[in-house]
Amino acid sequence: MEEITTKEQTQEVIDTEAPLDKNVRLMSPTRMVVRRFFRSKLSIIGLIMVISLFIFSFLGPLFYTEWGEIELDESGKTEYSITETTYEVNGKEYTVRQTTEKYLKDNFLAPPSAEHILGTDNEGYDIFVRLMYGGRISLIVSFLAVFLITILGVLLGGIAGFFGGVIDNIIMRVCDVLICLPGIPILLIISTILDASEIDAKYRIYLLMIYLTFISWPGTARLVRGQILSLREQEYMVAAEAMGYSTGRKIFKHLVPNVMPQLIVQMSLSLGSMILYEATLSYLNLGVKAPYAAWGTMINIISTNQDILQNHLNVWVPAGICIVIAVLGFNFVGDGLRDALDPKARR
Amino acid sequence: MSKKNNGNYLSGKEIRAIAKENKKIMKRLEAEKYRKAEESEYLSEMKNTENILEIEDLHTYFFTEQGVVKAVNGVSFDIPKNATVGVVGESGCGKSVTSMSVMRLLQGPTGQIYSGAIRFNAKDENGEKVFDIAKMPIHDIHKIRGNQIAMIFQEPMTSLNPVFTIGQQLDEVTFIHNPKSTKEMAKDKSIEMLNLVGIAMPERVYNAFPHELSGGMRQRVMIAMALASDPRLIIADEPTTALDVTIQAQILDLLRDLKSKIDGSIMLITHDLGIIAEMADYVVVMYAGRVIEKGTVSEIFHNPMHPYTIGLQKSKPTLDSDSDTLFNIPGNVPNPINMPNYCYFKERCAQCTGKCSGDYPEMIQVSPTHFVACHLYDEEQNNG
Amino acid sequence: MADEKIINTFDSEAILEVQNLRKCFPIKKTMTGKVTQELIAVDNVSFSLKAGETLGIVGESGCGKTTLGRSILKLHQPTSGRIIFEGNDITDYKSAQMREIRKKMQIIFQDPYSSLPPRSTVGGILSEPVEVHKIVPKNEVKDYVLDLMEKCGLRDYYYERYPHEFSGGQRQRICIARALSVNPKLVVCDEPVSALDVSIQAQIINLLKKLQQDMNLTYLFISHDLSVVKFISDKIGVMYLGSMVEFGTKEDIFSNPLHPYTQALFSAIPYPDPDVKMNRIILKGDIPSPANPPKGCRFHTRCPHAKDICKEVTPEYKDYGNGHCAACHLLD
Repeated sequence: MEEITTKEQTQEVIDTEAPLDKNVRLMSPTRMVVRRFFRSKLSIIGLIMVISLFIFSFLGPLFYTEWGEIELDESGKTEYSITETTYEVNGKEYTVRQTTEKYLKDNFLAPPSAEHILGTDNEGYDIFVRLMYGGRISLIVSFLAVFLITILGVLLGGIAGFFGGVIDNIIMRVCDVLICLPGIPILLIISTILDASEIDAKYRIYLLMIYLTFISWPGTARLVRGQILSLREQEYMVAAEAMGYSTGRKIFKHLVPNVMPQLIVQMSLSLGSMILYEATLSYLNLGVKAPYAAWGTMINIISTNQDILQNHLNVWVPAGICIVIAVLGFNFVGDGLRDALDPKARR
Repeated sequence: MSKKNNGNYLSGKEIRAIAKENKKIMKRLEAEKYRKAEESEYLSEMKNTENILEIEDLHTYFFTEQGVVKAVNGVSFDIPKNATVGVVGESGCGKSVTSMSVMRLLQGPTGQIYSGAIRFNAKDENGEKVFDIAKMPIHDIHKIRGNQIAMIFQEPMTSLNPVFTIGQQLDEVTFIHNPKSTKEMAKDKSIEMLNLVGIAMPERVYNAFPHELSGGMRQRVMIAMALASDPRLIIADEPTTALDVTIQAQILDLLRDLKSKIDGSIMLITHDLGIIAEMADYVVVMYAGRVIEKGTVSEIFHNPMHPYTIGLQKSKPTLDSDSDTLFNIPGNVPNPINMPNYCYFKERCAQCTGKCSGDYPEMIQVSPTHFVACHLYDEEQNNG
Repeated sequence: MADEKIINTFDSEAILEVQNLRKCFPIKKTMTGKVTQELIAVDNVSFSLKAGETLGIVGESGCGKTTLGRSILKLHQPTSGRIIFEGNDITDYKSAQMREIRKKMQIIFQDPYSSLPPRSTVGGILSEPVEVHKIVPKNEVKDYVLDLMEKCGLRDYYYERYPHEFSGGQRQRICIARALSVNPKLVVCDEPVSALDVSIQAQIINLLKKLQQDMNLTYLFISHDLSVVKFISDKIGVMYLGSMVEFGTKEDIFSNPLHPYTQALFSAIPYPDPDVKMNRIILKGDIPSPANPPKGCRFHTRCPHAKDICKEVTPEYKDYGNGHCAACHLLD
């Protein structure tokens, strides 16, 4: 008798809805985002742009070894030769010094040719190679800055959002103050100090990016704090509390993975801004200084030399194009990610 | 790649193929919606002049990237004058979509009326004119929508515009449908409407903002807005589902009271059989986009014929029922994209016969008002 | 201030006893932090619950039933009153002490869509509490979870799936499985079926009833749907604007509702028979805001039988025989 009733009861209780298809591949939230990302053509284009720039900058110089970064094409150098001939005239010795100057110029401002794919600039450096090396610096510095901003932002924004109260207040006021600092004037001041202290040109740019991190992390911190404030009240967080989980487990296993999506979108869009920042700094002669190459530095020359601006487009336009490709690429990827992460996005 | 055609996930190629097909159809239907047409193109005749609305073989489809969702798949029923028709069904059966089709509020371009006729008996200066709503271009719908057909929505919390006062929103109804009215006329009419729906201090509510009112009050304001233009048909889409039980009793009482006062019909959409029993004169039972049974309210409640209707009644626990377990109909609604061409209820039906695997059952007339779509009653059809 | 009489003395069979529970939320604070206006969500509620029983709490929006359920679980800290669980007074337990108790009292939420973490698999969600509370040794966790899933009607290959792939009813089953994974004694069900389809509601209610019998659980079932509450409860408590207006066994309440609000609640439910004419008690007016409750008896603004005394004096909560309690001046 008991057997029958339990069986009947099981019938009433079992889930009679259509079960999930057993054979379909597992669809984790991450895979769904990736699928949605690759559906948008613009995102794929952006990704291709970014990846090709990376390959160009980092693998390029390994294959194209014709010229070095700061190797002057000295095929047009000036040669001096001095010859002395002594003559005797009417018992007196006369020495005639003959100086011959052979003008072989630095091959500067050469037009594009087989030897120099994009020509040379006003100093004699090969432009194509400098684009590659410049890309290395620009991309590394941008990633470094965004990485540091994210770490700082997540830490401080997370603490502010989760604990609230006085800590939240303090951190947010610090953010407010930092946002009010004027960016460019302070950069100029720092740059002058660095000039005076004779730091190696290659390391200036890293120091400047650290300063940029310092004034940019409040944006990320606010974003993270806002996310945590809203996610904290979600019912699964209340459920986690009811389950008796520790605070650490709640933050790191439940809260942080749900903040990551927005954060990744923010990061990829910031990469575009950072590239522009670096280019601006180098253009203003505050960042990477000659002879080292960075895209901004390569454009810098047109601010003083109108001849190059008008007649020698091959010197500065390619660097500009590289910057545009980088910024557009990161922005397309960032937009694509944002659309892919938004579950209510319309097709 | 273990993605199958009938799995939940389609490959990118399949999605693009479906999208291409859908695009053609959607483009044609959208063009028809936005065309400029003469009135004669959508004038029609009612089959029975005692009806205010006749829906005949309505098909409303949603063209999604997973395929075509046939939300309403051949629905026909009539709404007589001065009667209340209740449309019952689970969620996903297409009752809301039917009402949206009548009001032409479907979200385009994915939602389209694919075929069918919706004949509405409109009032004109000269008498009565019959419009076929399904064929009207969207520009001309304003002659009827909000004017002669009014709608009350489910969520009172979000149906009112939060930045305007109640008075402004009520006056707007009068201004739109009666362009010659002055501000005083509109205000008088609005206060009259607020009194009609039982609001105790209409002047105060007239000047209030929506967030200052409770759910029940807001629903009353919605009803007032619907009545302000003297409509011939009111469509109420689950008007009390979001309200508390005692407030629901108030609103139902109000609607019953209004039934006798206004000169119009009500189409009441709900999933609660109790409300239908109290309010409706006729009942239409829908399942998976089709009408499976329709009749007067006493026929449906005392003599339900379709197994689904019987199941619905059994699963509603009442205060005086006493059993060990709650009854529920096993299984669930079929996937709306790939509907089978046999009876949709076959897998869940307790009285399924061999015939049920054949064609979809036709509507069989059992009495002058009682129709059912089920193979069990085929003999009645043959005999009758 | 409501009176502080303790109605139910400590009952040795009771698994849960609530004495004069009161929860207030501050609305306005001065600069120094003193509270000038507050919202009394739960006002002087007392009851006791035996092991294996089901107490159904009914009421409309704003009555405080959700706050009551959460306060009992210490998800809100009660402002005053006592909560005695299995003989221990847990009112003042801090979070570290509560972690041990949490194993024994669990909650199922109303919205299945937001109560599951979206980035964890079903297996992850169900194994986590088992591992944290060390219910079984580590190598037996997966078997334990699969067994639990089967009891709740979930198929075994759902273990690797994510919550977003499931329907509302299936998600609620996962929530139930999660609550039961730690073998609790008391489960608070906060409107577990209100967000589900009517046909799925019956399945979930049947499941809850069966699990109660199999695992000897005690339920605190919160709902606004009287017919469901009638089906599953042994005792029923009716709440209005934060206070308990009537309490008693199912039979007593349904055969003889004492409080006018309970009577109005019963008559407000539409009856699915067109020939039955209901004698409807229609309450006038709207539910007052809990931040600004009426003086005296809170129900007097809508009560069809309100007398003068009801507007001034709060009625006493008295026992009218067999544990059937109510708070109304008309009964005196």
